[in-house]
Amino acid sequence: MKRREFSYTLGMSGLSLLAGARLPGISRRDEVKVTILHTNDVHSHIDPFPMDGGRNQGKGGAARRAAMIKAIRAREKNVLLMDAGDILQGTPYFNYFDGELEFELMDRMGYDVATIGNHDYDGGIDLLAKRISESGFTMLNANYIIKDTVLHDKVKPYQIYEYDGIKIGVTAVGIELDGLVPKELYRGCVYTDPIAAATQQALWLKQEADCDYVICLSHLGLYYRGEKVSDQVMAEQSRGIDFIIGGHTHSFMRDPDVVKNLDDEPVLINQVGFAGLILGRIDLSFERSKKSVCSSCSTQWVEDWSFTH
Amino acid sequence: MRILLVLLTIAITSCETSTYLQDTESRSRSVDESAVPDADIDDYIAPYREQLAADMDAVVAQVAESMPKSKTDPRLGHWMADCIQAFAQMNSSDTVHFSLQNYGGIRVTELREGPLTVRKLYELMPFENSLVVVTLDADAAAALMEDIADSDGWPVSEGLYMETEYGKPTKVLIHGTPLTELKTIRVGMPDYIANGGDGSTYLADMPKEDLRTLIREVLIQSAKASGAKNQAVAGDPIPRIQVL
Repeated sequence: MKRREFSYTLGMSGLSLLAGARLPGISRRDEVKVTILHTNDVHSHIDPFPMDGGRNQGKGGAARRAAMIKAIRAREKNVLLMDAGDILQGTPYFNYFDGELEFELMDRMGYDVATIGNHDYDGGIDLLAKRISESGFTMLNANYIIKDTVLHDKVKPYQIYEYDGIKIGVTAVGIELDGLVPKELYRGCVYTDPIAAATQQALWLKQEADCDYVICLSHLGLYYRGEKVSDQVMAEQSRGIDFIIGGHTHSFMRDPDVVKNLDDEPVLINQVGFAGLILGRIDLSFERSKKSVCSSCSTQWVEDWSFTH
Repeated sequence: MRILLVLLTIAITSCETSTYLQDTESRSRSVDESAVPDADIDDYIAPYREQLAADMDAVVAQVAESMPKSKTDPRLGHWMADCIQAFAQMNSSDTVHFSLQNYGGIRVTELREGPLTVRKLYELMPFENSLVVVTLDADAAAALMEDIADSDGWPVSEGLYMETEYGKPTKVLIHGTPLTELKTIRVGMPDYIANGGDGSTYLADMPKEDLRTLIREVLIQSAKASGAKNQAVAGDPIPRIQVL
């Protein structure tokens, strides 16, 4: 499949995806809007790219991203700010200050939740644990077995966020570390099938925890030739996940992809390049009816044999 | 026989709230000059930025012509691998036949023509990988050549010449001598690869000499040496891995 990936030059215009038909028979509508903001693979890019004639010169920068987030929060009531991993490694800020600044800035910007990218292990698992404990946002992962590591009480498999009665469940998965990260840096952390882990979490979040919508943060990568598991593969082979916020492949997507899952339901996939060059945003509008309506409906064809008997 | 089909809706009515996802709108934006930087965040970064600037903004050399990270233009990879090889040969206890840098370990899209700063070299090689010389037996050497060929050519230094067809090595010369005539070869590389990273598990058990110097430090020293001699930084444009 040919991927649609290219650099951004301008901000995108609003694009409506998966617009549902207004439901008939509901007299009183009650709309709840939730704004999802997301980044991935920021890779210690704190300052804008230098003015050296390069492709990204003058773009990015944590202080600008913070201003954009602040402006959105001033207008929107329900904002969920997330990162899909590889917070660390890529500029001397990481080599000099061991990730202190990256995590502190995310805290100050009000990030709610993030997941672990392979490069987040680059300073070792102990340093990662330290940074997570110091930070105020939640770190999620559902497919690394971490019970025998220092991360065991610092990383959770899911988190639920509630906005005006709308429940958003969030889970997260990470990439296979073997061959990608030196073993001594992630020692004790065991990779398991991300699709099984994410599906299990998503179904639980929807069926047991009553979530209206499930987001999976992923550091698997958008797409690969061959069999390697990716966001594309996970979307097709999963259940219960509505939106995959990806990373790892540094993919610039003009629009989110929409892929059908095992239950033929649409799954949205989005990823916003790297280095904090783009602030990803998806606005979700939920509609609730408070009138008496059928809460468990089924429409059936009934055969009437009265004329033949 | 007539069968009358009746559409019947079975409904359980209640006062429960139903929720529908009514709309999904994508509104991502570029982070650029259209946003005024947040002053509090900028102030918080400032002392870190200043501390770095003192070390990072030093210009160590000039880059003669922009060198992209590219599998078809080998110059940047050649410059890196040649820096590694020169350092390895000078500091190792024995002959180093050639050196390599894994392609995935090159972390910038290009080195731009003009002043080369320490910062740019940190971005080129952010990893704390150190330089290791690995002694490979014939099997491991053959496996390494397969890997180099299969990936359309990892950057290699002078000393290795290879021809490949359909991703397989068809001719491998070490300083002009066919690889098959050598019992062992010694190769300089990042410890990440030497320890089995990027699929090179066959290297993990080979004897190693750790030169205890970061690859990044090797590159910084090499660029500084060029700068001191008023030589521009440039990479050999002639392919060492010939894809036939």
